[in-house]
Amino acid sequence: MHNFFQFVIGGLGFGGIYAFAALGLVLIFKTSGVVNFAFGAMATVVTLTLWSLLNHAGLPFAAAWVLAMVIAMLIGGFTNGVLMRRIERSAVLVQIVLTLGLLILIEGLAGVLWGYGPKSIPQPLSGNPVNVASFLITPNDLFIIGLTVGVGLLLFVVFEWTRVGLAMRAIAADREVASLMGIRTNLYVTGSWALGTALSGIAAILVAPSLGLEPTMMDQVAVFAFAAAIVGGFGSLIGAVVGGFLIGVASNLIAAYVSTNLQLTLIFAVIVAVLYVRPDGLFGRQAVSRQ
Amino acid sequence: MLGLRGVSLSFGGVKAIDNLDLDLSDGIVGALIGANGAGKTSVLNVINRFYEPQSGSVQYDDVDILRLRSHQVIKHGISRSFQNVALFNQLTVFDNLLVGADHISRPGLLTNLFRLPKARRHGREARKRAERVLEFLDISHLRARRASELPFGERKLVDMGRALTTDPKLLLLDEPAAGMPEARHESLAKLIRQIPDEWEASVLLIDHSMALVLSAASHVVAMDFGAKIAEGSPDEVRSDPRVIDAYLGPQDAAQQEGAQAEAGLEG
Amino acid sequence: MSELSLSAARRGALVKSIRKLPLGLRMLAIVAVAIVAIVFPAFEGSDSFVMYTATQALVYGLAIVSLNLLVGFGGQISLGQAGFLAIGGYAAALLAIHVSGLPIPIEVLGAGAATAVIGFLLGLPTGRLRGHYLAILTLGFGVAIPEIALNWTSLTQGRTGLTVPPPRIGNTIFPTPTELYYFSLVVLVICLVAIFSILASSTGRAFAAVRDSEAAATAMGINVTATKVLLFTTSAFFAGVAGDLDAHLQGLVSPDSFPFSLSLFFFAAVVLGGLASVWGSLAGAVILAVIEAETSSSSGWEPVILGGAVVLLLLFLPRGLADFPYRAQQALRRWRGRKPRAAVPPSRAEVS
Repeated sequence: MHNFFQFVIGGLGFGGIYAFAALGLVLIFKTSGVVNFAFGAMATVVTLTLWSLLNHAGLPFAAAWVLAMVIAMLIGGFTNGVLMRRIERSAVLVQIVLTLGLLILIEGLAGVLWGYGPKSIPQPLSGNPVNVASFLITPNDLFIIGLTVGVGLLLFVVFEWTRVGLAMRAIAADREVASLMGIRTNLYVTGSWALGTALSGIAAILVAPSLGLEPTMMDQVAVFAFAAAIVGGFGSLIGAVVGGFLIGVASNLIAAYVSTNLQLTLIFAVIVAVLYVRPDGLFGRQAVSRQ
Repeated sequence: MLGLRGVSLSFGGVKAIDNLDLDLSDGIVGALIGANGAGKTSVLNVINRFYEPQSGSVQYDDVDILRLRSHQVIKHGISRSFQNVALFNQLTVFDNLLVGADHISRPGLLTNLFRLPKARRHGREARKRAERVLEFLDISHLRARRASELPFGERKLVDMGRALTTDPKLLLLDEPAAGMPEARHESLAKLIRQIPDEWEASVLLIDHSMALVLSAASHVVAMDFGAKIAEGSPDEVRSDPRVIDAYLGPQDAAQQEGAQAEAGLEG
Repeated sequence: MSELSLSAARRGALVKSIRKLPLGLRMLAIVAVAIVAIVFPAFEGSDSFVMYTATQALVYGLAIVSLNLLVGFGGQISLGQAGFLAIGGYAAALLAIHVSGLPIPIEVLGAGAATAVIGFLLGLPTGRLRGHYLAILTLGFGVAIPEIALNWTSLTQGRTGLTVPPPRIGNTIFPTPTELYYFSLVVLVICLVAIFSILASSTGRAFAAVRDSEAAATAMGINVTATKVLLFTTSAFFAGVAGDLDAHLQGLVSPDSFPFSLSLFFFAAVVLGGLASVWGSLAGAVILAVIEAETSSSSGWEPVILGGAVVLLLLFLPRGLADFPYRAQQALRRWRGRKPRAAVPPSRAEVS
């Protein structure tokens, strides 16, 4: 039994990473109604930029991280402001395809610019596992968990209790109406793309030390992130965080008790199961639709 | 014969239909009138099984309609058109009509793939029906046009045509005159009046245009806030004080209708 | 008659005159393509790399048309089409290895049928899902299939993969690149005839009806869920046949043969060729195969070209390449007319 809980705790670090990726997806989806399939590639470019800042510009880690976040927001803002806005009234299919095109393009560009060999960036915190209530956990995992919970709560507070959050909720509910109410919807949507890209950038920066930094690094993480977002109902920020931790723990348990090679497959099975039984996720509300 | 008994429908506390009884005999044109939001389209959506009423029963001949799934309703002879026109936009007018005719016999994929006799027979039957509808509505010249290319008024005609191609016994028409210039209302009313004889189908008609309803229908039910407020011949309903109060009240209501219909042309 | 119907009639005549011309040209183009496809090996048959690329284009053609069936004709999404090819490929390999003397038509049908079963199962939840969820579900499927192939070693030999014998009829085997080309061409043509036959029938109309309006399709007696499941099954069948052809072309099926990027490239080709255009999809397949052949040495540029083309196309030519002649004509006419909106320069469209 102790082993089981040790595996649960061991999955929380990755869970936090999936939570960040899911947060970015959900934030963008809430305001713009688009699932950004290119988020992984965009996040990878952010991380490769961080790598360049560390290794070519010689910046200290914290400074490089801050700068990478700024670049992430520029990438996200540019993607919406210049590309997605042009097709915001098109069919869902067209929007999905554009983000897929971006996924292919950005992954390819990353390969051309940075090459395909794996690179390494350091973990935010190094150090041996510490003993917390008889369970072992690395300082880095503790950092990730703390950061996830902190950022998740911050976003929740902003979204629920501030004027900015109110505006974004209004846009999520009905963009036309929000616009008529005088809310500058384009600004907020572009802002959420910027913030969402920064959040998934954090996920990529945190996962790179474990996976090896390369252009297609996030392809696999993407499946876990989508699973986390779906479990969380694809619309709830808290759901994304909870979903992220659930998926992190579940995949660690799968690795421990089933096989390390079947993680993706079983997480896919989780997606299928959730979508079969509750198409709106474990935390989602049933959408009421009128013809 | 269609019969609704005690049908109630609400959306999160808002009553769309309130304990409605409604009967429609075979072989006639009946009409539902009422202001915007009176619950007329909701009635069609209940009969069509798009909405699940909280209480009441819907009977058509001997069939309990509420036991059916929405795509099965048409098998019992009930077909409909849509208020906002839901044509298959990327298909031609003729193909739109063929989809209507396709429910008569639905050949399987393999039957179609190998063009077995059953598939070919079905194709012939379907084309024949579609041709007849084109002729009846006088829209043969539109057959090869994509539905999305047509102006709203003609899309409404095609929508009605598609419902006719299904060989219905009961045709539900949701605002067929919307988007048509008032000058054409009379010819449309004439067309609708012919349906019971030419197509052996009764019609349940909804429209804003009082003139159209009164000229096309022989039996009228007036609704207000989801409830029935009057029923009878067009003349009776027109002179009913409650109807005048709820619907015709301001004398210029009819003129507004006309203006709306013109405005609809652009859409 | 009112102004309304007058202008409609005038527009109708215009549309007719525009459409009449391309129909003749179209038949001509089809005949030309058929002749080129048939005599092609007579000129290039000695160059096995060219023949390989040409055969790859045929295989991709079927795969991309199968995806377009789903996306363009049915309004659904699959980001896991390579997963279907994988199932078809493995089924073909297992049939060819374990059933000696199996006639090739049975093998091809078997590969298609096995894939169709999986497509049916994957299609089951799609009646309730749309848009983004469907994309994510199929993405997960496409990623999971190679992983399953990797782990089910008793059946698939894991990473080593399965060696696929060349197609055979009776005691004759067809191992040369030219023979493989004709084999793939024949299968492709049969599949295209079948697909056109389905699309022109009540089944094809039901697919389109569900795509254009689920509410109206339901009111017309179409069971929307069943139709979507049937569409997934059909698409998977043809993708499975493409997987069979691919297995014979490569001579090997392994988990690495079906990366997620392949599904994405198929999707890109559907978009490049135009939704609901079979001929556009075939053109997209040729482009994909040629880019793959030309960039295989200098790795990295293939996704840049394909992804960049998709992005540019969606922004500037949203209906795909199939729409290009029409748009170019329009642009040209505007340019000649020197109206203020001559701003869509043909050069920009040509980039994509």
